Amino acid sequence: MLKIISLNGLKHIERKFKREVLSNLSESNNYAFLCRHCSKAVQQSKTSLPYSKGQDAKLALKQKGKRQKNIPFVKELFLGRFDKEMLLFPELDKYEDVEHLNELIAPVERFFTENVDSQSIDIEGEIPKELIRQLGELGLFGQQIPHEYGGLELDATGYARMAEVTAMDASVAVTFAGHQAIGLKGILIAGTREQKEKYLPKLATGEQLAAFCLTEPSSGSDAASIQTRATLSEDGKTFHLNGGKIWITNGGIADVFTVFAKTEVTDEQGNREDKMTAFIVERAFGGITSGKPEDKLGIRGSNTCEVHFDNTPVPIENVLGEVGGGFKIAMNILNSGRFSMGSSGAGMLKKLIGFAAEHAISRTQFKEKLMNFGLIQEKFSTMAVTTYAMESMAYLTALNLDSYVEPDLSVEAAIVKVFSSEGCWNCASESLQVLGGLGYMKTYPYERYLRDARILMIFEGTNEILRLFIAMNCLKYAGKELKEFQKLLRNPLKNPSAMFLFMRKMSSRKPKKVMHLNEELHPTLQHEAWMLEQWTQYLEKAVQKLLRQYGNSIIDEQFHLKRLADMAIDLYAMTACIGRTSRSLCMGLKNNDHEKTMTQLFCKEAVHRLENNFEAIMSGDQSNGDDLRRQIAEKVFTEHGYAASHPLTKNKF
Amino acid sequence: MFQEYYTAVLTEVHSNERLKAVTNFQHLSDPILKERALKKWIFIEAVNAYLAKNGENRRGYVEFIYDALEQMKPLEVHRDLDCYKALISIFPKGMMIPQNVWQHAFSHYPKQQDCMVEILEQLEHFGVIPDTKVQDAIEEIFGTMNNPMRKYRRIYYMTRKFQNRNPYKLPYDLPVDPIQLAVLALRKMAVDLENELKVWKVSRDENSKEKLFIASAQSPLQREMIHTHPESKPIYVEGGYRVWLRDIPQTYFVMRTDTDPSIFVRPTEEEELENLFDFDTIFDSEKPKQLALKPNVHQQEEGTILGMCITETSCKDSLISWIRCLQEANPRLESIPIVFSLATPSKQALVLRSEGMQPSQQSTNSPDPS
Repeated sequence: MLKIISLNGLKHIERKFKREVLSNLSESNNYAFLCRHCSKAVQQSKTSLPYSKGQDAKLALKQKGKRQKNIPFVKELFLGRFDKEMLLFPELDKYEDVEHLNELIAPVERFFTENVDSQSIDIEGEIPKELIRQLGELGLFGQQIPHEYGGLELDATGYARMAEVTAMDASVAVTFAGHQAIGLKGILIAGTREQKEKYLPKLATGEQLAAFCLTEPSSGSDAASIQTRATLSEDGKTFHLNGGKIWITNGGIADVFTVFAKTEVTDEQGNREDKMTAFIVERAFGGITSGKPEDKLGIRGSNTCEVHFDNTPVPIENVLGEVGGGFKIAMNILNSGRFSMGSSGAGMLKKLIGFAAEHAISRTQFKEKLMNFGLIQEKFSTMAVTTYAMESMAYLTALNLDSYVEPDLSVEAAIVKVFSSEGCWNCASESLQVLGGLGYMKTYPYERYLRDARILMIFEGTNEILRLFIAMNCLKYAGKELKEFQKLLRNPLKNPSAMFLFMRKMSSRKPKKVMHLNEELHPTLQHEAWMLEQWTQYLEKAVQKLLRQYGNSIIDEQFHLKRLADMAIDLYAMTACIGRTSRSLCMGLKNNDHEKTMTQLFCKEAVHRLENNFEAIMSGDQSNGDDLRRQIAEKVFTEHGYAASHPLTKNKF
Repeated sequence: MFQEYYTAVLTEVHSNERLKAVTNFQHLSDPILKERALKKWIFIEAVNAYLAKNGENRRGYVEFIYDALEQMKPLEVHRDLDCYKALISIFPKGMMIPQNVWQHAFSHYPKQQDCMVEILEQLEHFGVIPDTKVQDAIEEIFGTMNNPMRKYRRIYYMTRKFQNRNPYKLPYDLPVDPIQLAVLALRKMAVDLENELKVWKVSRDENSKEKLFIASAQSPLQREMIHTHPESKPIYVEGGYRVWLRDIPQTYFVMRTDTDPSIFVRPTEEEELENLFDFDTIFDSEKPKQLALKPNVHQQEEGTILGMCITETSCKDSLISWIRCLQEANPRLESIPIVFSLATPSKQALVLRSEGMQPSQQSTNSPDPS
């Protein structure tokens, strides 16, 4: 059934085969969790089984092909261990699955091209209600809601694929994200059956919209410092919400809010403390006022406004999860939706590259087409390579999310978000630059894409916070193993043999070829495989150096944490690109040689960045400029602004 | 000798109507500034009078200059470059320039060169930056290679290099208004970048119209600390500390409370080893351990500073008014007990006499009966 392309390509297929065997497959057509996307199937499932039994049966079917837990890839990189599973770019099981997905996407794409007028949405600052109704009819408001509640029940891959299409209009995409990626995700993740039954059906059709209310004037990134309070009534049956939230997507048009507020919780010892709790709040409960929609730089069609709660009564049945457990729910919600930014960014950029390429092909200056000039070619190669990396990472993460029952891919999702947001901003800027003056004018959509792309770096966790998230989580994981070595270093005489081995490993600066990553890949990617291995080993060295030098206070050294995060991002992106290229080469997909060139360029550039970051970490604060940065920043703050004397200053004497 | 000329010009100014009109200085509003301008004018006129009275052969001008230098500080013209230039102009020009090798080798006119160096020394001591006109004058008087010129060039080089190095640089002429002086002092002392300075004017009691100022420095962080301060712990107003603005003292008071010593506790090395790499980050829990401990800029081991003030009278009543003014922004101050422990800096010095070791106050000399 699987054609053998090449002898080494066999390895790729062999491993996949092994995986199938390992998961105890009996029937051959049973990766059911990866498909089911025909509208027919949606209708069928609604009427098929009595849901409780069917729910369990479906769940069992879902999880049958899945493995339990994954090896956390990026966290293991920090220990110098490369999980070769990640090089095996996963895929949908059968050709029909891909076809089904494309059939689902096609009408949506057509709708977006024909019926969605992005320019007028941007100018008016509002998405027309008629459009929202039509989008609801397409089922786009319930992309991840299970069939029984009326949603499309797309898994991570399907959701990512759909995000590519909805990204054509950023305001619509953000409205969707605010509604389903965060607004009702809480109900999906942590809701009881009653809560799901009550709210999800209407939310799935778009009849009601959802919003996620966490941010307040005094707490954006610092979610734990919110001041909205929920006080329990005397009879213990209602909470009363008091407070205000700002910058809530869909705040003015939503009917169901996921609100986070501080509640007083008494723990086992009898100590009282304030902990965050999540509530499902309906607008109908009363006491909820939304402010005027904010006038924004980009995503102007998305409704962003303040939401105030004045003694809003919330029945105790509407508590999401448990009282005092809101922080974890908030973190889970935010971590779960991040990966789709990669595919939505890639979708947007693919369009932009197309438009810009058309322009470069047809425009003549200095008696030559623009496309023949080196600087233009450089721009297009940057854009193409960034898009390729974004896409590869997004789908690698999404497909892996679908392959495990309890996936731990939060760090990888954060990496996708950081890379995609910055890539989108830079590439949108470059594509505008290709057009020059024309790109700057409002008659062309480039400036709108640029403005819309700016928010990507800010929402869903600012890139700075996510870099700290990546670095801290990986260091925590790595620190557990290195703790023993640290103790060893403090008492070197207690265990001399282990000490000796450790010192020998430390002293050898150059990485050695021990992982044989090239055996997992197409043979033309040997050099890239070696780069991956090399830089994994270098990353390990950097991590050990930092943990040795700073100990527990490494979490305050944000200059270094940023560099570690950047190294992790580059390594993960390289892995995704290389894995995808290897698969393309083995399978003979169209333009796979182009993919290979893009991967080679990406790896070259990534290695430059990795080198710079590594040298900066290893050479210390005095050499890499961190000391200077601190001094400069301190002076700017002391002087409340720019501190240097004006260049024209003279002494009076 | 200089005093004679000075007093002569002074009496002339008081008697002569025309001179009075000239020395009116209408563009200056403050009487203290007028007085200073008058003194400077009289100083320069005294020098001119000396020059006018003693013609080309002015004898004893070195003694005259030394007298004048001594008088500059009491007359408060010690920071004025024009006065120094006036003194430099007393030297005769041209005659003291060395003409031959021997005069170059040995300090030509050493007494006069030393006198010039004394002028420059005093100039440097009081932080005056000379300008190139002084250099021209020295060149005309002594020539190019001599002690005063070396001194001058060193002063010029060094003071220009260092003129902006003081991070707490005060304006060249300190203001006369006590409110502005208080504001300068508080701004110099305040560490918090968000510090806010407020000046209130309160009347001494209900009847008097006279308004006395209270300048107070407090930042939002300090206000927050007061807001969360427990009512059982007192706040101390301690005071009579002195801060100098060049040569003008300001008396300031501090509102302080005791700091909880547990925030300064650093984990021991063993504890650190035990908890090594047990990171509890902002992403793991709502109240991570690492965030709680760091003391802020106001929390010191001796105490937490909650506010500072400088008042016009530095007496206890003014401090009570200060607290009352602060209650506007810090309503908690009404309920927290406040303890005053004041000691005004002594304006009178205690002098120990050699016989009997009895301390006596240095006031006006009382005539000895014996």
